Order: sequence, then C-alpha cells, then structure tokens
Amino acid sequence: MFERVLVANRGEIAVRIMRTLRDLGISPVTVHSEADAHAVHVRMADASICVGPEASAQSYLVGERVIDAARRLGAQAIHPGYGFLSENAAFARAVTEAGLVWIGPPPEAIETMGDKLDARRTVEAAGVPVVPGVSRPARDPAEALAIATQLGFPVMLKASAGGGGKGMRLVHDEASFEAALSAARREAAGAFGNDAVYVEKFVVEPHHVEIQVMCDAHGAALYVGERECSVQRRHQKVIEECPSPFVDPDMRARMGAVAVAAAKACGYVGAGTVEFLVGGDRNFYFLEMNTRLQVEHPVTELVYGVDLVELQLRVAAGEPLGLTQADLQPRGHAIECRIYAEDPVTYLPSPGRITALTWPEGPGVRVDSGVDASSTVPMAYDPMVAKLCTWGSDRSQAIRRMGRALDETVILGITTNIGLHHRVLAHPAFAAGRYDTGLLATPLPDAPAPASGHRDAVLAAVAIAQHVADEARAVPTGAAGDALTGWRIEGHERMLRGG
Amino acid sequence: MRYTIEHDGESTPVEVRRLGTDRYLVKIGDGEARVIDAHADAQGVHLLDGAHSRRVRLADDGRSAWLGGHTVTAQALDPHAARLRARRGDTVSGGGDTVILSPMPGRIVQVQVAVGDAVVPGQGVVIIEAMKMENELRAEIAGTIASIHCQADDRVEGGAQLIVIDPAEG
Repeated sequence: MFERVLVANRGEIAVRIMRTLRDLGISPVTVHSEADAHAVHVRMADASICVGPEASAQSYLVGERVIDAARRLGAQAIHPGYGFLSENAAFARAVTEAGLVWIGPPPEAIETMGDKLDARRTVEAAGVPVVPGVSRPARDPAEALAIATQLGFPVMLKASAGGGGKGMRLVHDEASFEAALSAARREAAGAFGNDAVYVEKFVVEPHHVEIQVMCDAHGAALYVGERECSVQRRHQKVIEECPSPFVDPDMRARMGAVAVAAAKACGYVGAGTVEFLVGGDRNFYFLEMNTRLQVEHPVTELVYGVDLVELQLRVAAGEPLGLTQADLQPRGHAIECRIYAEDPVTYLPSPGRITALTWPEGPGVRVDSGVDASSTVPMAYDPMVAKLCTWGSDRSQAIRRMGRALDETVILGITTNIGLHHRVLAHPAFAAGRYDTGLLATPLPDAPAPASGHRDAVLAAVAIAQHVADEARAVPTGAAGDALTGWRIEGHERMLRGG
Repeated sequence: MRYTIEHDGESTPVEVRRLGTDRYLVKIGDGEARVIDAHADAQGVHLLDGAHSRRVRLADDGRSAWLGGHTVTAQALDPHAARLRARRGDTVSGGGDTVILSPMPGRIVQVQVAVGDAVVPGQGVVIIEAMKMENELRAEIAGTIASIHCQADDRVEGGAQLIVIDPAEG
C-alpha cells in the first residue's frame, strides 16, 4: 500500500478522501490555489503546494503542476476526486508516465466513456440496453427530423460531447423541432466546442438510477447496488437515496449485471458509476458511465458497509477486491441532501463568509463537509459546501432522521438550500417514494413556519448578547472610529484570536 | 439599556437590564417586561423563558440569527444608525440615545458641555465642522453628561463616540 497520496482536489471530496487515507495510515498531501492556502482540505493535509491563482483553470486544472507537486511532496499516487482532472485521460496518462499511480480507471476507459456516442456504441455491442435512437450525430437537420419522426415524439436532443444538461432539449412535436435543434447545437458549440447533436427517444416518467460498480485489476467486477437520483433541478442532483424506492431486488440484479457488462466492455478498473434512465414502465437504458468516484457515493457506503475510497486505493495498489457479489447486501436505507451555497429562489450561487456553523450529530448521521466555521465560500468553485447523509433501518426512519439533522444544521453568513430540502422531504410523492425526475418541477409544500415566539426569542437574544458585549467593554473608548457595535467587535476579536 | 433590534427588516426597541448572573429583565416593544434566564456565549444565547428552552445562534458578524432551523437577518443597530433610521421614520418608536456619535468625519470646533452637566433634549453639546460646514450635535434625551471623548480641534471619524449621557430617571 502507498505511504503518501496526493489528493488533487479541494472541498468536501478532498477532505473525505483524506479521512480514508488517515484510516489506512497513509499520509495525505494536497495542492491548493492561492485563494485556498488556509482552506479546510489544506489544513487537513500533512503538506500542500500552491499550484496557481484562484481560477481553477490556472491552478487545480493544471496537470503538470499537480504532478510536480506530487513528486516534490514524495507522493506515490494521485487521487483526483471528482470534477477537476478526474475524467481527463491525458492527465491520467501523464501521471502514469511520471512514475506515479493513478487512482482511477485506465485512460482508455475514460476516453471511451467520455464520448457519449463512443460509449453508447461500446456498451450496445456488449448487449447493454440503450435509449432507442441513432448512435451518431445527425448529418443535417433533415436527417435529425427523420430520425425523430421514426422514433416518435417526444424526443430528446443531446450534445455528443455533452454533460450537465448543456445542449439538451426535449422536443414534444415536429413544429418545434427545428428551433430546438439549432438551440441545442449553439449551446453545445458554446459549451464543448463541438456542435454535434444526436436524437433519442424521450422516456416517459423518467427516473435517474445509477449503479455503483467496482472492478479490480484481477478480473473481478462487482456492482454495489443502485442510487436513486431523480430529485434533480435542471439535471443537477439535489437529493439521492440508496436503495431506490423504485427498484426491486430482481431489477437490481438485472441492472447490476448490465452495469458490470458495460464496465467490462471498456476494460474498467476501479470505482465507476453507470447511469441509467428508467421509464415508468421499469425499462432501463444506459445513459453514461462516470469514470470516477461519484459525489453521492456515501449513501452506497452507508447501506453496503463498504468504504469505496479504500477499495479504490486497494485496487490502485494492485490488490484484489477480496469481495464476492454475495458479500454486497443492502442493509437499511440512506439519503443524501446536497447542501449548496445558493439562493433557494433564484438558485444563484451565494458565496460569502460563514459566520456561524454547526453540523448535525447523533444516530444515523454522516456529514461530508468542505467548510468550517471560519471558511469563506469562494465564488470561483462549486457551490456545494457539504453532503448531509442519514441512515435508517428503513426509508421512513432515514427521512425522519434527515428532517432532524437539517433542523440541527446551523449555517449563517451564506444562503443555503436547506429550506428546499425540508420542502422536498414534506412532499407527499417523495414521502411515498413515488416520484420521477419531474418532482422539483411540481409545486412543493411550503416550508414549515417558525414556532410561535420565534421572533421575540431572537429579539431578546440579540439584545442580551449586545448588552453582555457592552458590559464587557465597560467604558466606551470613544475613539472606535467605526460604527461596529460591541457584539460585532467581539465577533471580530474572536475571529482574530482564531477561537 | 435600550437597544434597537432589526429583525427581518423591521426595527423594534428592546430594553435589557441585568438582574443577576444569567438573569435579565427584557422588554420587547410595548410588551410586558419579563424576567428571562439567559446565558450568552461565543456562539449565541440560550434562553430559558419560563420553561421554554431556546438556543439562539448568532452570526459572528452580528448580522443574522438562527433558531430551530429558521434563519433570519437580525442585528443590534448601533445607536447612530438607529437614530438615522428613527429620523427616516423606520423605527417603531422614537426616543433618544445615550451616546452622541459623530455623524461624519470632521473636526471638533467646540465642546459645549462638561462632565456632570445636566442636559435637556435639543440642547447643543458639540459643534463639528466638516466640508466647511459647522453642525451642532444636540442631546436627544434628558440626563447628565457621563463622559466626553473629544476636545476642540480633534479630528474624528464618522461614527466615533463623542459624548455619553447618563439618562435621567423616569
């Protein structure tokens, strides 16, 4: 096993990976941008090297600087986390060529799965069901329309090089087809520098269900259950759960076998996720494979009792998985709420300095956070500040624990989507486990109102805090020079003391 | 002490008097004064109001508060800001203030009172010059001059505390 591993990431995922490194007695080291010199992931590491200014394109994404940092810090391997360089095949190759171990799948697998059409062709050849459509970009609008007519409306237009919802268009009828096609192509060209768009059958009452796969270099390829990711807003996941309330054991076994076939088709090694689109009729179709650790992997860990990062490390070190499919049995239920620094109404990012922070604790709670009470959430990076997970012996207990955990969570200074999570949990369709990807487009229940006496209690508390601060200052100095009140001055002094 | 607390955009006068360790008399707006057991620490205040236990978390910049899963903007307005708002008619009730603050950066021309002097509302206490204009700052309450923190020719910043008045009883 490695003695020192460089985590080429920031935020919660860097922290989460370092925790497993510590569990295994491996020294975690990392890299940071100028803005992140005192970020939580740097504090947690044994050593860190600055790789450039705040903009990730000039720091976290500069592969040669990351590799140079790994060499200088004496790391034997690089874990890329998710995002940033994690799905960059050229970087994976460069890591290996530098004599370091890449904790991820072979570069060829990243390349195959990184191109949607290539991926579709590869898995189709392995017998994996794909959404009815044509696995190549339409040559011209007339051909695209012919394909759409043949499949039958509604159809989905997708960018060949795409991801994250960019270049995607749902088209309900022939009349709106041409305008949607040119919009999708413009968007794809802008986002990916490639305007290739293909046409797929649109699946009705769609669910987004993904299978976790884990393969070693000795031929073992297992699936570690599924995750239901249908609570989405504009193709961004908000809440995930494991197991899916929509998937029964038979369906799980069939989807798992198909996911393993997809992984084998591209020579996969390590942890990966095969995403499926599942119709209301329970037919499922391959969407794409994410060739890295997934954001929502903790719900799988909670239900299957595995540490996926540890398995990644063992596989990268050449060890066999040492597990059989029969070892991987689900137990209980887990839910993840992604905590974003964003306005719950406009969904715009809400960066800023955190001015009070407490994470929930207690039975069945797991928090993966990339911030602490002294953190500033920068505008430059992903607005996700933490993942809050709860586990219960059944789904209902996991949901009740999530409600309690959200209530215990205190985050001041930035606006978060905690209120949105409460509203989703209270939604009858979510509570019943009968929802699809359209859930967040339906009207949500109102957020629960504050208890009576809320306002007076806050007024009393603020006034008492101010009074106590004034008493502590005893005699006014008269030369304070700014309009800060005592309570605020005390807060600033506390910050300077680092307390 | 009397504070102006802004809660979710609305200003409310709150009076606080310490009765003992962790015990306060609190009067909110026109409500009854109540004895509240409360303990303030670095992260907020725990209130034991009768049998009601409430933990209020306060932001370290003094601008927002959290209670029972609900976050609100809430802050103690500094006396100068509170007075400005009172002039604009924002506050629920008028009333004066015990601290005279410099409304702007400037130079003290003259201090018109001495410690121990009795003052009445409207009485001039300090003349400050800024941008070639002299402004007379007046007491807004009746009381006695408790302390003076400036003298003629001092340069002061906006918001600096100049005079503290000990309010007259009643």
